[in-house]
Amino acid sequence: MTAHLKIMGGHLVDPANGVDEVRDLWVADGRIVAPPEAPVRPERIIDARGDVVMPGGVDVHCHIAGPKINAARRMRPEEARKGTVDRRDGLRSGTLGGVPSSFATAYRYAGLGYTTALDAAVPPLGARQVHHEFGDTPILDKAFLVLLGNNHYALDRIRDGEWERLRSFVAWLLGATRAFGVKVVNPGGVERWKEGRGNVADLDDPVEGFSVTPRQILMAIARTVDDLRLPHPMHLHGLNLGLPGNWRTTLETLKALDGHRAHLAHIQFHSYGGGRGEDVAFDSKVGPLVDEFMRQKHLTADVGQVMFGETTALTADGPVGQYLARLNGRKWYSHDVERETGCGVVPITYEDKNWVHALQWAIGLEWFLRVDDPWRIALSTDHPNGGSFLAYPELIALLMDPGHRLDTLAKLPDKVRARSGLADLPRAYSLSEVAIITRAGPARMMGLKAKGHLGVGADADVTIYRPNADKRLMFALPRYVFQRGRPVVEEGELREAPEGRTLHVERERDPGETESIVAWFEASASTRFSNFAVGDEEVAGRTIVDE
Amino acid sequence: MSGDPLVIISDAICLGCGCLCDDITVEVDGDTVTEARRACSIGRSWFMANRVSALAEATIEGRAVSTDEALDRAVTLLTKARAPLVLGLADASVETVRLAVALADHLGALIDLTHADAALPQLQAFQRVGRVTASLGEVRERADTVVFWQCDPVRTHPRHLERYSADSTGRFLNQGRVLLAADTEATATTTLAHHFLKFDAGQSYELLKTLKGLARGKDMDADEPTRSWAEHLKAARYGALFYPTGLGDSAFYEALFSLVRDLNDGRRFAALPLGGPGNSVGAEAVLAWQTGFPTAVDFASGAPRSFPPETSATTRLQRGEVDVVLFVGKIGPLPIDVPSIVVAPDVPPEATVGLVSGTLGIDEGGTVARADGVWLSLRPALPAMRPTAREWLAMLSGRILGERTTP
Repeated sequence: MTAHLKIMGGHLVDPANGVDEVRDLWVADGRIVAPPEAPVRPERIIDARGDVVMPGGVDVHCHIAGPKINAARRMRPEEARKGTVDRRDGLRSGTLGGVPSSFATAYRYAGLGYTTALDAAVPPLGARQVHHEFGDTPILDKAFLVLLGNNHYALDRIRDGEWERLRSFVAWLLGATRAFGVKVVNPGGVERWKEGRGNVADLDDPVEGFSVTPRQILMAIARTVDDLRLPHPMHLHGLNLGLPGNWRTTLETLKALDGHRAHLAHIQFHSYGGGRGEDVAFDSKVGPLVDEFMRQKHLTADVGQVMFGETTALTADGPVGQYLARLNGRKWYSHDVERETGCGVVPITYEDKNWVHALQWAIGLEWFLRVDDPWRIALSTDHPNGGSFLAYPELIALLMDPGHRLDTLAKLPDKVRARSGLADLPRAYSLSEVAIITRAGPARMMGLKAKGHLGVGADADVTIYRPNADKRLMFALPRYVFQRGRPVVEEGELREAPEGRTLHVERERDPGETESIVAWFEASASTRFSNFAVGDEEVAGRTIVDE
Repeated sequence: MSGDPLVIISDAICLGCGCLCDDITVEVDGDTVTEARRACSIGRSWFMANRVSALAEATIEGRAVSTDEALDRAVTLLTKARAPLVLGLADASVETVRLAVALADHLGALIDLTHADAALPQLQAFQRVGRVTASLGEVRERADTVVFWQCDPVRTHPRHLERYSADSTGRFLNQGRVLLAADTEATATTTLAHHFLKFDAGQSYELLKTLKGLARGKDMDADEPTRSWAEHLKAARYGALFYPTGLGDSAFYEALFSLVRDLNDGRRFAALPLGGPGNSVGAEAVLAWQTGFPTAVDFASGAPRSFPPETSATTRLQRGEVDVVLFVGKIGPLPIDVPSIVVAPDVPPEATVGLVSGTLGIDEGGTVARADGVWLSLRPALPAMRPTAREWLAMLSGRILGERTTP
């Protein structure tokens, strides 16, 4: 007989199913089940009376595995020395800092009540490494997006308007790398920079050598992702990340995407006024961007909130890495990946006394507070770029508690209040809204039907919080966390670390395209085509996500 | 055995040097490699080395014993040890290294890589200034200027120039490429270079500083050959500088990486290691993701700590602060007076416990990383005669950790 788990008497916050009330929750075989009609003696009863019960958290944009994360670990032992996770019975030891070791990453995500994470940017050539690293990142269900916006084969197809061939290539790439979706980073800009011509600055700037523009690239890929019916839309890191005045390009991008699905990554970093021909050097342009964003119903975004403290910037946007390294003069790792993308890693410290950093903090919060439909905005720090995922409880506290937010704002430099409208936004996030931006919304953005909710048939990823006036404490220390019905956190303590799954998609394609892809490898790659694809046995807990 | 059909493996991967050529066609007759097409002389020797087949599968103090007996002894040694050391791993697969680090963690052991001492200066330099680099395909497709700094790939990496750095063509290379070499003496590679800068041994650091100044347009005290060579660096649109391991101290590597970083003002430039045989890059990567540190990790406190050379295997062995050693992979001389467990294709008779494995890439599969961060899955040509290193580690872990074997 199936063993049942009953979570009794908790306050269920399950916005995807319109539930916000005290109700029992039943779990069997790793899934949420309907309350049994005949009396059943549950194998285990969790007394959740007085507690808040939510689906497990889902992170739609973070960096937790792969070449650039591991380069950050190799380059920054000083970060790993900031804290340790001690070995315990059945659990591994590890190190913390801005980029924790793989087991520590999994344990700490689970410790915050998160059970699913999407790594946002992996070069195709980095896929094999990511899968091995995922194998050492337990508990979490994981997936990654494969980088495409500067891929030579894709750019050639886009220039020639060969849409069916582009679709076949993308389908092949997803299958060969066991990826979940497609990421576009600074389309054309990384390629142009790698070739020594500098970055692109505008959607219609030329990408020499390929005779395409950033606009053509992002439109073609958005269309291709839709044609392939991928569960997650094109995930876009736009142009001019972090530069004053970039809001104009962002606005133009929002308008260009009219009618298409797309997810805009770390939108905070793309919402800056100032720069060329402006009165001020740098200010918030969240207001006009949110107006356009709300008009474009098919778009979603995650914020990429900046949190004060030391962290590591790491990005596939090679020119951004160089820009940051020139700005702060700190150590710089850069890795050009053949035919695909770039990579930059630079230490960065966001200081509350630095008005630019403080304004970035305010701009992120403005996005959370100005977008009145929480289903369209996801909580993220672009871990570790804006700050560690370990800062999520503090970020939730800033959203739920306007008093705490205004107290923090009051301590920041005057320019922050003058150049952002944050002080005029009294909104307080409800528990239900928090549940949306941390699980229900991200799961829907990813197209994961079994995640982010507590309806019958959903994965039994469940987090139980003990309410506390101090929201930071409440969300930092869940009482229980279940991964597919298994208790991984009990009474605030990590108990076990079962293997998580790796989610990826498979799509039909024209096999006739393969010959041309092989020829492309022979003409330009440093490996053979036959040695490129990741094998089934290399993927930990391999799980194909159906439409 | 005669009568078996000839087996042909295409696109096999050679671990004979840092090139990791992945286009080798290997022919196998029975349990012997008879041909390795497209391989260089180093690669042919690597593929066609005879397997040691007379050895027992497991030994204790040189005597053949059953697998169970050997494993029991190894488990007793490791679990009773107060200061165990896990060492080697430079020619182990990523899968094996993952198990070895897990075991070291459980035992509270020190774990270090065979090559860690030689690689420490460049690691320390990387941790101070970073490094601007690229994958070898970028060099193949883009680099119009290639620099060989105190290295001789013509001799040590015979197909490097053909595959990646000199003869290859790419869509961005309209006017071919310029080959530069800097060394203290003429070599096969400097002879091939268009512009060879010869300098006195011991002057490399000063020369790098001078070149850095010249690259930034500073007025430097430099002779004409140096000035003209610096002009070739500056003329690059996309430059790639190759350097070897173990060439100098960390100040040297820091100067090298800083020069290449500075050359990125006004053009692109990348610094790439030539790389060595085996899988030391993959082993470092696993250590980094599991512990936060790429080498010399001490788990004795219950969590990873790393302060090389303080936590380096060499230091601890010299001080006599190790009481059992678990070697994984090919090893040098064993330390005297310390019981040892050796997991390798060739176990020395003085090993306390020998667990005889296959050879990675020949009769043992798995994943390896090239020096430029490209990961490959091996295509072993021969069937395994022995348990693989991965299987030995899994058996050891299984007995020590019980059900909780991770990964």
